[in-house]
Amino acid sequence: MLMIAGCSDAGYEPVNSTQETKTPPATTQEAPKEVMTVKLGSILPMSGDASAYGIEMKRALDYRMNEVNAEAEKNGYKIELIIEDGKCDGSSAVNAFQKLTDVDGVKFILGGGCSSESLGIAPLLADKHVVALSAFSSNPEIEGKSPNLFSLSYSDKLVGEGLTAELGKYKKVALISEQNDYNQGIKKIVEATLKEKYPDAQVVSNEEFPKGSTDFRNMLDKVKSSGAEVVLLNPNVGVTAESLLKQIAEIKDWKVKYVTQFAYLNDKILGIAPETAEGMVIVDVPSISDEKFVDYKAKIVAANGTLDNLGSFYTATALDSLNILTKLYVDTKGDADAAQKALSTDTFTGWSNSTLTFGGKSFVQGVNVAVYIVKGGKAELQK
Amino acid sequence: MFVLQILITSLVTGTQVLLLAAGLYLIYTVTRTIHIALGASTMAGAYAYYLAFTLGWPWYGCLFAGILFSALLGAVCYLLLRNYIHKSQVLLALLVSIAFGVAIEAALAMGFGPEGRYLMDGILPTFDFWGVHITQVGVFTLFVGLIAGIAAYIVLHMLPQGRVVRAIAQHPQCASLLGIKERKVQFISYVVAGVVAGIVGILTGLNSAITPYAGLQPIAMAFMALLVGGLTDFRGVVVAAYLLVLIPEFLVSGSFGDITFSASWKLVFVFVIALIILAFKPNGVFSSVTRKS
Repeated sequence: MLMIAGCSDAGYEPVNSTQETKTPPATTQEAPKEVMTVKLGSILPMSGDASAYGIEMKRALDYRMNEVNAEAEKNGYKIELIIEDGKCDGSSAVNAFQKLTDVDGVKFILGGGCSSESLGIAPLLADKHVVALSAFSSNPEIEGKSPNLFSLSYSDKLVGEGLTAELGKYKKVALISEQNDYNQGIKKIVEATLKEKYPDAQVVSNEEFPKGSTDFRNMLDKVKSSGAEVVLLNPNVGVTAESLLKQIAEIKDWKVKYVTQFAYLNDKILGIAPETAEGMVIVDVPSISDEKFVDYKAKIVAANGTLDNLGSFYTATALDSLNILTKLYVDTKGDADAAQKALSTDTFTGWSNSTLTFGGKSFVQGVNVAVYIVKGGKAELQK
Repeated sequence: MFVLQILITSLVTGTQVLLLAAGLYLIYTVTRTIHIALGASTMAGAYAYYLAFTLGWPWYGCLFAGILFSALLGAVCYLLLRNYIHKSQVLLALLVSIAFGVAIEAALAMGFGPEGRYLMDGILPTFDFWGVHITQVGVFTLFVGLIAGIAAYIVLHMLPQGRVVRAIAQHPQCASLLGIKERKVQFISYVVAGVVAGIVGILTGLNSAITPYAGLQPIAMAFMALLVGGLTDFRGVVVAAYLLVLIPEFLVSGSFGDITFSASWKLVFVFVIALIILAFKPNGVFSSVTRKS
């Protein structure tokens, strides 16, 4: 059996399953003459609105791949991670999937990145005997979509319910959402949960804007005129979120509470309009404060660049997804069907959680959300 | 106050569309071609400004860089299209213009990445009065639109250069016989339209953010304004540009009982309004029915 993952001297905790070391032949100490290449695929948003995620995830994966291959080559293997651009949309993800499976012969895929990408490739996985493990797809529609699709992210259902718990404290609620799979998923959960659990809360304004918009002024004035006491800001990460906050800041006489998701869990964006963001409530998973992980992440940043948009949780899930897939490839000798069964039933260890188990579901179990409140341009964890 | 606020913000957008439509109008008047690549040129000018901005140039240097680059693109586009223009191959000219525009967008995306960029840091300063607000860039946009409108009127109706343009618009062959250098005027028109496009791109970028493909919607609206205005009637283009912006903005910003429309409906309303106007006034908003020979 080949040991690829689990180099604790590289700062990574070994995964929690049996590992065996390949024993060299007794008569010789020479390294294997041929290096076999093992191909893993990855579908990430390398361009488009969510490209910040894809680019930063690639930074984390590239760093970890160097460590994995340094160990693998000693044992006659080399892992090649082939990254294709899913562009954060379903049809591009399908093209990427077909290229990975038909041209590169890949059976283990790290991805999709965005929920749109994962939902796009889900119907194709079982028939092609391919297993996919996503690091940050979170749309609840992923649950049960394919037996071969798994996600280390939390489901948006958790975030939606957490957001609703904050919104439900007020009588007049306004929703501002971008039109893409992720944000619409959050919006639907919020609408349904508000109706079910907070019937006294009235949605006085429910606005949507096209994906990638940058001018929101008239829409914001419309929301302001609705008399809302609290506004859910639900844009995608990046320039859209930044532009929305900047244009809210232009409206000086609008004092209202803001509740939002991880798009604003970014000190750089919050620092652009700290007075406007003051008191903003952000619902997301807690950042990972384990010292070993913090040091490891700092090494990745020093070597390859910032991971500000990815954040600590998704950096952890990115690394975990690579480690789990490489381990499964080795354990199952590249049998994707066996890997699918293992993912469904086994327990793994990773940076994002000491116990990673899917329990027959598509999303990893046991993840809880936390609440951050913005103070002085920084998001502070509350609970 | 809400109505006034929507009106003020929409006038800024309408002025941007009008400036682009004016560029399309000028080019159509002297060449009978639709220069769709003008939309991509707006973003090219904005990105040239952005590049200068990141290099630490002063604002006037960035402005000069942006406008110069758009003007150059206008000149290049004329050189690409001149043969089709002179052979009156209007459809081929349109296709080449579209292809040039796509090439510009692809080059911008490859060079700068597809994510949005800002042309200035921080929050835009605003003027607040009577319970409404407008950004300083918005005020400047309205000012540029006003000056451009006055300048266009003076040039077209009071200066010899305007007479030349109108002569070519009415009858290019006769204009040539009178010694008017048709090709020179056409070249200058493309360059002037490029300058205007660059200014629109920079104003758009300062007011919000720029992306390589952000020129598509404004040029579509400018083209509709040109069609609805009447192709060669500048008064009609002015009125159409503001109608096609103001009406959808008010429809989207208002609520009608339980019925409200999200921002995604804006372009739908633009095309529906254009279709309605064209159904009754196919030759433009100020056209009148004339007896056909």
